[in-house]
Amino acid sequence: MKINNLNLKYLMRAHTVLGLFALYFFYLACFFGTITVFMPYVKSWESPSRHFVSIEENAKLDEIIPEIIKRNELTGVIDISIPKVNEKAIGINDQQSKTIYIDPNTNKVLNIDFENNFLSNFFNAIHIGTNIPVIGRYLMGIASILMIFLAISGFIMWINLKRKGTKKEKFWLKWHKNITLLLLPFILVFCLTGAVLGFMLSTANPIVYSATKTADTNLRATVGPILFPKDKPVIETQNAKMMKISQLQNIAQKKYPTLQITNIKLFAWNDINAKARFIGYEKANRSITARINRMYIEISAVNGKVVATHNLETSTGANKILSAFYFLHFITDEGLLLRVIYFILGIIMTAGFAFGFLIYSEKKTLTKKREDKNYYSILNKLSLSVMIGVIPSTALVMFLYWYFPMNMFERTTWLTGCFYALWAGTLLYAVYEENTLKVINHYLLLGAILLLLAVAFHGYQTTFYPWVSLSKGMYDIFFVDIVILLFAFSFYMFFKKSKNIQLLYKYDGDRYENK
Amino acid sequence: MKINRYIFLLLVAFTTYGFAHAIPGISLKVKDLRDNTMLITANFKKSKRPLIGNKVKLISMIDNRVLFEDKISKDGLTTKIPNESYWIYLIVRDNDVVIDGIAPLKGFTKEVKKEPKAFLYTLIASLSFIVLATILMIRKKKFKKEESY
Repeated sequence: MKINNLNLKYLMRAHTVLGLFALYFFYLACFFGTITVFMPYVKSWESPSRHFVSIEENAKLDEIIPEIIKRNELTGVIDISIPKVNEKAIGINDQQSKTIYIDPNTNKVLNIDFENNFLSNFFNAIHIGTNIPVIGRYLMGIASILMIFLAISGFIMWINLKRKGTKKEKFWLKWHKNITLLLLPFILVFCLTGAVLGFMLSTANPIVYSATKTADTNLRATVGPILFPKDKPVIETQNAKMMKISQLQNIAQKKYPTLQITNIKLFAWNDINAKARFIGYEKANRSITARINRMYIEISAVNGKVVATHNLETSTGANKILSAFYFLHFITDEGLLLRVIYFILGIIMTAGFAFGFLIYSEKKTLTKKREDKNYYSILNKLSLSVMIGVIPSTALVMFLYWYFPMNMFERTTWLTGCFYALWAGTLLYAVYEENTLKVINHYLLLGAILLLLAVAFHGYQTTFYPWVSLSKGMYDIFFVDIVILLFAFSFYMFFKKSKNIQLLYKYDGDRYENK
Repeated sequence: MKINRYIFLLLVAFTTYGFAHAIPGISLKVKDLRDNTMLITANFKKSKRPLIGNKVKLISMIDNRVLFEDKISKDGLTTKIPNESYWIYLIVRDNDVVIDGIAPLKGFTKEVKKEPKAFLYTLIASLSFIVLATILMIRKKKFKKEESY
């Protein structure tokens, strides 16, 4: 696609201006999204009750489930979740009550009084923008839409300018281009899914209005019954003896061998019409049987006859497409390998966006300094604190999570408040201190110290120091500790070595040529 | 300078957010019946439909002890007002709605006041950092411009 020079200049200008607007949101979404890739592992790291090795075979579902149903008077539809990637314990609840978690090794109820998965929820909230009330989610959605434009315009610019080549000294431009072009499919996946999740789902009213021929404006009410049909209530008539859950599970597995069971739903338990629904995914077709399009088989709990099945043949095409769409964003049911790949690509992508800002800031500083030797940019300081200042703030939350007592009054508010306070503090420091490299160094040193303290206090509070979790075979907890320590180490190394990196000389205010 | 003002407002919006124990769409109310008992009711805000079968817990502010727990029925739940400061928890699946409990006719015998301070303190800290930074930024920019003449 060839366009003339003037239009190319307009495009470049639009790329810069819209890029600056979307930058902060998309940078933060990428930063916290990269952390949330490891959500299942962070969840077990932050909950002392999940510090065990989950051996599913030890679980005695036949004994514990009827006992818990009886003791807690669970009624209606009872949901049982089997240990899986993002939850090590067995969870049981009905439509109203709080989920009861059971250790599959000892078959005892876990004490989760003070656990609320604060860290993973908090990071996720910033990732999707819900930390800004009312408009946050829309802003993230708009940033994603702008990202689609930026990706396309960047691609057009590359096609038109690739014969010219980039000068070697323009390091940021070169790598911004290389990274974002190489990761273009990866970036497009996230901006497309992000735009749908953040913006489209809640603003589709005009489309629904037209599609339903002016009958309705609510998207959920229109597509809900087709995509997620509601369960018909089972009428209870008389009590009956139930079959054992393990027996039912065996029948389900035999009738549907490719099903990987993740949940069991019990309808009208202890009644003659009772049935058990075994829900899960197919391992070979994980992407189209992800969270939004679960397969299932229903079995009568009285005689073990198959009542209904829902498999790939009976699910609609829309469900499959939507499921694949969600899978690309959330990588549900995936193990460590794909998550590590997403994590590394996420870090590279985040860096690529930061380079994009540096191109703008350097160009502007260069032209402004020609007119005015003492040019001072507020935007640079702000970006410094938003982009790098977020690192020590995140580390602070992780440290304080273990430092504050578990039963502290207003714990979550203190934690969130401290995060924002330090983040605002980094802005003050960035403004106060002129030397940019020194500021970055101090941020990262603080981040390294806080991360180290987070690991130390995690060990102190739970007695699971990294070497203990390694020797006991709790690799998920060990893995989180090691990743944190690796980051702390690399931040420290940057602090030590950054003054000798030639690329960063121009940010070092202490060097004679910058004075 | 215009863009900076917007960014400033955005930063304020970022910081002015606290976690409240509330689920949008569900309201929990308590009514004093003037005979040392109270009526707890919960309903959906939009449809005014009452919540049925959810657990209500009265939890002591002094030692987090559970003072009373029962399931709520269609007409609400009538119970005795405890003699110490407490919170009323309504459990809706894995979330909860919390309000402060009302005092009995003669007042609490054991009373602690747990005022929410965290939000206020951290808000003041963040806002003062931002305001200080903004003042410094503007002053530096002006000062530098004057210096260059």
